[in-house]
Amino acid sequence: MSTPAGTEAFDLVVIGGGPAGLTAARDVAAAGGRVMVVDENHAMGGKLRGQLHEDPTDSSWWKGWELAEQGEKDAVAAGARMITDVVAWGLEPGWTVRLTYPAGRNGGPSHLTSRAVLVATGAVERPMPVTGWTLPGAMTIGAAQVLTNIHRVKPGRRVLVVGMDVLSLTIARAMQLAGVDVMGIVLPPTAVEGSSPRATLGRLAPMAKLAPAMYMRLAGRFLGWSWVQALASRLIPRTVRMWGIPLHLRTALVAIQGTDQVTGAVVVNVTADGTPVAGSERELAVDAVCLANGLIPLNELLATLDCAFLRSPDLGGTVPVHSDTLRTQLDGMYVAGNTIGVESAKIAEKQGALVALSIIEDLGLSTRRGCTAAQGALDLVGARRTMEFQFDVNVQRGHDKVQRAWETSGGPA
Amino acid sequence: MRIVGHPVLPDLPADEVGFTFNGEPYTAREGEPVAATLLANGVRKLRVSPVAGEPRGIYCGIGHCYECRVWLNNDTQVRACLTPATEGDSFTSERTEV
Repeated sequence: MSTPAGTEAFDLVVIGGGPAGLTAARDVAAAGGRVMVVDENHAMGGKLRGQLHEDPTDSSWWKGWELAEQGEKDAVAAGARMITDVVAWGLEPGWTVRLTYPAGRNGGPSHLTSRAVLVATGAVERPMPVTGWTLPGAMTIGAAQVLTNIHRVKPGRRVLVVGMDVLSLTIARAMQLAGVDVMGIVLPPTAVEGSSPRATLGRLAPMAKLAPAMYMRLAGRFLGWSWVQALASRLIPRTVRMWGIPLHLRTALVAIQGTDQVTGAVVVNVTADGTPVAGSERELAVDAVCLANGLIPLNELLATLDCAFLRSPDLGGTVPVHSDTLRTQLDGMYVAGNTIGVESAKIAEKQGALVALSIIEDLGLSTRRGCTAAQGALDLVGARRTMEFQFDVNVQRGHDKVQRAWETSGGPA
Repeated sequence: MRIVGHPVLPDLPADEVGFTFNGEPYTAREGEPVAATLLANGVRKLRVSPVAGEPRGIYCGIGHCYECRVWLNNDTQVRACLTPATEGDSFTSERTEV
């Protein structure tokens, strides 16, 4: 890896080498920009690297690991440079990106100076506090994904998954594929907002309306009809199966048990509205519990700057106000990927291509594409409409709210 | 706890990097974070909390929560879920007074 001098000036520093960051790096470098990508992980690709699911559109496997490798290769081939195992801890207008190397190795520059910065730091998981959640063996569903699909280590021999959403269902399937005994999926503790059987099915049901033909094909092929029927019914069944994994639709986690590490989980039956049924508590013997409570956009770096934020549950949390072309209120500061709303890797990649167009325009770099960022923004809205699944069906509503805030704010500060 | 013969993903390179955790020897795959190597060997507990002495291990797996922090060569605290071992590294739950 080449080590740039701290005094070297870049056109673009990308913070976060996931699908959004790598795509933007590739395109800006291809347009002649001097680009550096920094990432905290030992390998590029972000959470894309751990994704593994059968694509409902054509039954092919979506192998995030290969896509991440290709994304890095393409960006490097275009001329972008990369630093791994590094933490970007500060941004100063101008722009200066402050760096630190946690293991005290790979001693690179302490800072980078750049005309433009792209914050593409992705998302983190919303915590699910519950008795016993700090025990070794209790982990986020994302940790289970990373262990299973990237590091190829089983999160546990017998695993309970808690929380039902697109992410937890997909990762439960990935664990099963890797030979883990996924003994079931239950609902979060009743104290968690929106965790009742009715609310959970209410969130999952719109998936069926999103792209009916595709969803039914997916459901028919992989999920089994019982699941579709459950979504449509008023009487919520106790258990349906997906890929043979039991989804306990009326059972909630109470506590995680163990002394030195997880040895079990206590669950309880709940009514449709999430009221525990007295006397129905029972203990399940498991050595790992994977907690899924949705994702939150991660944008701490921008919070240190004079940049307005907006809260949008549709996007998963609080996001920096930005234009539909992914410019922020700060000159030379850009955003893309899950840092501005929780969506699929496919959308993140498209956002990376879009923000590259904005950066190329603003920096006056050449482009052979003939597509403007404004056109790219419209394409993104169209692409979102045809996605086979979304983390939140109202994600476009969230982006529209951000766009109104951007227009009200009068654009760049 | 290693996943071998995955039906979709290719096998990873064999173990080759030697390190210790709390004095015990382990062998890691090149580039693999130390927490993954330890879990592959059935070790989940990485440290205890400083006040209550409660066990802690991998929680977020992506470097955000810092629950998995351990000492590297008695010198610096690192996140076990992100940090790969290099040959001869000594990781410990606690820092030893010198």
